[in-house]
Amino acid sequence: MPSRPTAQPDLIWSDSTEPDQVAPTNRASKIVAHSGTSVEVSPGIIELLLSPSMAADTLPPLIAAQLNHLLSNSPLPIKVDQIRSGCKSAQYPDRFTLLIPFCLDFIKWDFIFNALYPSVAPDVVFSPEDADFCPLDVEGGYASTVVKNSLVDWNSKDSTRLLALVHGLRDSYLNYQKKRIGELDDARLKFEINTVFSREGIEVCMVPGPDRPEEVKFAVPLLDTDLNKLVLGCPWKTEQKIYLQVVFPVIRTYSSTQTAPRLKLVSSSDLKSLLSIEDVKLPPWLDGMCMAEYLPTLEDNLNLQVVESVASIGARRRFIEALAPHFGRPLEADPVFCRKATVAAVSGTFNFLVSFSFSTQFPRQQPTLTLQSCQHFTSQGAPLASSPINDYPWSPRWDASQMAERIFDFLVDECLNFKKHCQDTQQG
Amino acid sequence: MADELPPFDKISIPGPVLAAILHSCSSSSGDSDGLLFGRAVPLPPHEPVDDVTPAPSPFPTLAAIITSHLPSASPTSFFDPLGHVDPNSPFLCCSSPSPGSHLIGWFSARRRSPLRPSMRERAVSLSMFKTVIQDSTDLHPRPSVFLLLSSSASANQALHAHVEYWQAFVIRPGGALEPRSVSIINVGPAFRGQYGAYIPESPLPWIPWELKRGDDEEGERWSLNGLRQVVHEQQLLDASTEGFEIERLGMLVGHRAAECTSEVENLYKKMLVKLKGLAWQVEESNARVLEQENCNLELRKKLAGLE
Repeated sequence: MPSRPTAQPDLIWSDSTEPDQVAPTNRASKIVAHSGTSVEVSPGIIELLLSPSMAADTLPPLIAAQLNHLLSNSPLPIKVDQIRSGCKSAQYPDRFTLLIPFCLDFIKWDFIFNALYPSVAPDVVFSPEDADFCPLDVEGGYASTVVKNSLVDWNSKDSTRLLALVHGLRDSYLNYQKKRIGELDDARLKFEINTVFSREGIEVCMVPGPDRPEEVKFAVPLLDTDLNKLVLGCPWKTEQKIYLQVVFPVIRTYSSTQTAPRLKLVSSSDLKSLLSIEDVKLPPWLDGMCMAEYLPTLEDNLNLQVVESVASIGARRRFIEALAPHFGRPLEADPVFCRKATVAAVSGTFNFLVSFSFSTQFPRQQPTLTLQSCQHFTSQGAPLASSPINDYPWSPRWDASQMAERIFDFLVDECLNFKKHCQDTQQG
Repeated sequence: MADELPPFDKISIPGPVLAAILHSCSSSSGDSDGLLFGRAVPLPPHEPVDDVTPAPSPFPTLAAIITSHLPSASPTSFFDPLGHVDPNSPFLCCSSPSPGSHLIGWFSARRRSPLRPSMRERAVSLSMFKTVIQDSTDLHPRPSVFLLLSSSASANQALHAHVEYWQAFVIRPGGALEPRSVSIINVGPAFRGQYGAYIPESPLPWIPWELKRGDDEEGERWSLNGLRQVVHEQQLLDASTEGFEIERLGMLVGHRAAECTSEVENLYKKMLVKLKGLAWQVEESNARVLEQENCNLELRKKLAGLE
C-alpha cells in the first residue's frame, strides 16, 4: 500500500535546518487562463504544461476561476499538482491533484472536473489508505452538509464553490479520522480525545503503515496569541502557528507502564526568521501524564521563548545601529527581523565588505562574520570571501556600542590576514 | 433477504464484450459511464478442507458474467451529484436487456485519474444496489458490480503511450467496494466449458422513444406517419430478402435436394452480393455517425465555453 506523502523539501511544515528557502509565493508562477484569470501552480506543473505536446493547453476558464479562487482565498497553503486532461485529445485540462495540509502533513486528493460538461459537479478520489472514507454516506456519521449543499446545487459560474467543497471535505475527513480513533480499543487514546478535543484547531489522524505498528498523531496548535502581531512590519501573509505533534502508539491491551508519546514542536516555515523551534527544550513527559496536564507547562515555557525572541529583534536592531559610527551606514540590512546586515570597510587601499549574520539567540550567540573582498576575484569572476568567523572576543553582557567597537578592533587585524589570503589565492 | 446475499466471488467477461467496452470508453470524447448487463451463475462448491471449517453459507457462491454494456449519452444521466440513483430515470427504465440477462452493475471510465473508486462512484454503486430491485428470478437480482476504467496518467503525451487499465469491484451491503479480479472468457481449451455456454447476443441500441412519442401524441398525423414508416420498413426488409422466397428455399429440402447443387451455388453468390451491399451501408452509416458526433462535440465545446 502506498504510504502517505512524506515531507518534501518545499513543504510548509518542514522543520529541518535547511538553508533559507525562497518564500513559496515567489516560487509559484502564474498561468494565464482563457478568460485572463490566473492560477498559481508549482514549478513542476509549468514543466508539465509547457512540455511540447501540452504547450497549447490552458485550464478552461470556469475551472481556472474555481482553482484560482481556492488558491488565493483559502487560509490553508493548498498546492496544485499534476494538472491533466480527461479529454480524448488531451486538449482541455480538467483534473488535478490538490495537496491539502492536514495534521502537519499533506493529504493528496484528485479533483475531477469534466471540461465538456462544466455544469456537472466535480468528483474526488481520495488517498488509497482512506478507502473507506465516504463523505456522501449518511450512515458513516461524518457526512457534511456543506459538502452536500455545494454538490447538489453546483454552479460552475460561482467560483467560490470549489473552496467550499474542499473545506467541507476536509472537515468531514477530520471527523472521519476522529471516529476511526474513537473506535480503536485503546482507553488512553479515548481519554485524550475526550479531554483535549475541545481545543480549537486540534487535528488528529491515524498514521498508516503496514510495516509499522499503528500510531495516532495529534497536531495541537499552541499559544492563543497572534504571532503575526508581535513583529513590527510583519511580512507574513498567512497566520503563523506553533504546533505540538504528539504521536501515541496504539495499545489495545492493558499494561501498567504506558509508553510515552513521541513529541515534537513544529512551526510554520516563515516563523524560522523569528524563532528557531528546534532550540526550544520540551519539558519531560512524566509517567502517567496526559496531554491536558502537559500542554499548560509547555505553553508557559514557549510563551517565554517567544517573548525572548521578540526582544532579540530589538537587541539586533540596536547592534546594527551601533555599527554606523565605526563602519558608516550599513549597505544593506534586514529591516524586519534584523537577521542580516552588510557594511563596507577600508583598510589602507584594501576595500572589503563585512556581512553579519545573526541567530535568533542573539546576543547570547555572537553574529557570524564573513569578509568579502571588493578587489580580488576568482577565475570565474566571483569575489573572494573568507570562511565564516565566529571565534572573536564576545560577551553578551556588553552593550551594543561596545560590541560594535570590539568587532571593529578585531577586524583591524583580521582584515590584514584576509588581504594576504586574497593575494595568495589570486597569485596561486 | 437481498441484504444478506453474498457478493459475487468471481467476475467473468467475454473478450468481445470487454473489447466493446474498452472501445466505447477510449473513443468517447470525455469521461463516460453506463450500465452493465449480465447474469449470475452458481460456482461449484469449494473443495472441503481439513482446517477449521466455517459454517456453510446458506447461499451458493456466485459468479457474475457480464454479457453486454450500454454507455449513457451524457455523464451523470442516471444519478444526481450526490450519487443517488434515480430508479425512474428514462435511461434505467428503457434499457431493456436481452433475454437471460439483467442489470448487473455499472461502469465508469475516466482518463488520467487514479484507479480507485471516487466519492461519487462509491455512492452510485451503493445507491444502485439499494434502490434498483429487479423483478427477476435470477440468483442475484441486485446490481452489485462496478467496473472502473482509466488510462495512464503519463505526463509524456508526445509518446502517445495510451494504456488502459480496469478494475472490477463488487459492493458489499455495508457500502464497501471490494476489488475482484476479472477473468476474460476467451476461445481455447481452458475456456471450453464457458465458451460452450456462451450465448451470442447483439442487442439493438437503445433509442429514447419517449421523447418522440411526446411530440407526436397530439396530432392524428402520428398514426399516418407511423403507418408510412411501417410500410417503408417492410419494403426495406422485403428488398433484403428478395430472391430468397420461401418456396425457392423449400425446394432445397426433400428428395430433390441432391439435384439442386447449382441452385444452392446461385443462392450463395446472391447472398455474398447482398452481404457486400450491407457492409457498404454499415460503413457509410458509421461515417455519418462519426461526422454527427464530431459536429456534436464542436457544439458541446462552444456550450462549455472552450472556444
